[in-house]
Amino acid sequence: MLEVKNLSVHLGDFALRDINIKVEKGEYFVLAGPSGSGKSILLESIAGIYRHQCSGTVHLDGADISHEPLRQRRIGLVFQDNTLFPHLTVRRNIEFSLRLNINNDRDVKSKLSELSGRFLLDDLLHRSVTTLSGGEIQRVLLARTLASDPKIILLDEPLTGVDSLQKDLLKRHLRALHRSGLTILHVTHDFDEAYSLADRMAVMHQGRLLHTAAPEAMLSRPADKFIARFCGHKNFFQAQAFNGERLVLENKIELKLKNDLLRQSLVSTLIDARKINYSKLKPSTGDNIFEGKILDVFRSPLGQELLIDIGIPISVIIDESLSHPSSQQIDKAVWIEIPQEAVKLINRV
Amino acid sequence: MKKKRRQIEGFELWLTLLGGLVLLFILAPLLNMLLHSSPASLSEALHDREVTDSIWLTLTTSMGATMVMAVGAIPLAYVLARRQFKLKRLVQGLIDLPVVIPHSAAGIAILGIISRQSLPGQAAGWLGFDLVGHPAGIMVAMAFVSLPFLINAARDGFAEVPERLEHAAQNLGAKPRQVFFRITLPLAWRSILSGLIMMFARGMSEFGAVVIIAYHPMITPILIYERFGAFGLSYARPVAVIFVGVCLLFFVLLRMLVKERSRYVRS
Repeated sequence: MLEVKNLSVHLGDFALRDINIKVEKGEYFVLAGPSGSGKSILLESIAGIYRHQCSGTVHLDGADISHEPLRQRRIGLVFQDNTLFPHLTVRRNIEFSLRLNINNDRDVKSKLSELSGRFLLDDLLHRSVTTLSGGEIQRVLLARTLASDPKIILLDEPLTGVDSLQKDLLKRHLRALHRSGLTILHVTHDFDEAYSLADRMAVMHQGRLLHTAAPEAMLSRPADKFIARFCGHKNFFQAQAFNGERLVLENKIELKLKNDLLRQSLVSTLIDARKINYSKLKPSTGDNIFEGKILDVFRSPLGQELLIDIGIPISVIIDESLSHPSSQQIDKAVWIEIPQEAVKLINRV
Repeated sequence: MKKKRRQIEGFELWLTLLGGLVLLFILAPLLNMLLHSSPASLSEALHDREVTDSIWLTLTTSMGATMVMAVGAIPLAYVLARRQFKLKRLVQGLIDLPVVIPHSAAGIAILGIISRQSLPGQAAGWLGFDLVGHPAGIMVAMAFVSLPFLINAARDGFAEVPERLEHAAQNLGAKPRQVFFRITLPLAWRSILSGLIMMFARGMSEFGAVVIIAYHPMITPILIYERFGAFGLSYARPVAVIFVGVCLLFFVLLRMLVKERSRYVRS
């Protein structure tokens, strides 16, 4: 369907390097990454905006469109910022797009009513686009983009700046579009958003594509520290295993464990922050007990979260019902115990 | 805290006072001129065929110059707002040149290219008229000195239209011509209209360049100058008052049009 090969773009100080993506027909593909990683530029390059600054190729349905101008690509791009035409009403915005592709007034009308019904825009059609909310803007943008009959749509942060109720509605619209067979390439900085929508996803960082996988695999087997952090894992460490029973995290912290993977020498390690035991007093018995200093303490939906320096910084989440340290206890000495079941080892790829 | 606040107020008072003086500086001569003109002298000037003809000539030549030049000036403004090219700064400077050179010198320069010996002069000769001393020549002189107002305003207007909107229109399948006429131009229209008004107003008030190209037929600024030279202040003043009034009327009317238009665009 869409195939991007060795795409590089140089724009001033920023560069996209050697990007390769393949999106299958009918697939919902999400490109995730923090702000500034080059996601928007990648989408805009695929749509044809930077075609004079690009090297590499873009194929759509097998045809090389790398040199085709924006208007001929049949790639519908929903920009991150509001690109509704401010001098036109909602209806005129959608019609602008329809009339470029359909000559017959009756067809324009029927397509307009179909789109407006689909995106719940009937009450908004007469409105000026300058009075719409974030969610309404996105719905009109989606309708206007679909009106141009694209082969694939590219969505640039469609849920950013939208309140949570509207967000759920928009996600439903997006899933319905996906179910109707539309191919979607969606860009977001939010892992949860990617996880809830994607068939497959890729993570981008500093102009490079790091890793492509199904969302479940991305979450359960993060390929590196950056991806682990991006997926929301608190404690991801590179580790070295010795003699099938010892594991050294980041060359600093040694754990005693029983795990088949310890026969490999290099593994990645995830430690579940909720399963780490925390104590203000030194526990009398047990393995894997470390003394540390509290670096930070804050509230999280799962409880109270502590960042503790035990030689490496490690996050611990404790139930709020426990007597928890107040912020005055920053820099105080505490103890943690890392039980066997908190540790998950991942084969390094 | 309270004391500090009072100090700021005092400072603002000074700013207001100084600003007020400048406003007074603009208003005082005009008001003085108006107050020293008797209704009888104004009425006499209004019924003077020479005066009304010159006002009509001034309005039409300036309007004509503005309209003709807009055909090329608006595209030029668009290119300046959107494209980066070598020597762009030089081109920008060139556009502002008519504002900084003495207008009599501009008149001399224009005379050189529209006189009977020049190509445009010869072309006009084949059509049976002489550009020098002709309304067409007046239009050329007016256009030369007032063009920067239109180009600069239109360029700023185009620059304010986000390029994103043009990309979005192209992405939907619009050709460049459709993007320009249906998205960019309507969105920049307010600034362009403003520029047209400024160019028109500036053209109407031109004296220096026009007087060298065409003493006759007489545009109003030249008529005022002539009456002042030949008959003195009291004869020149009523014409001046009427002409200022006409200029203001057009200026205010056209400004209101821009405001109406923008309100329409917003709603």
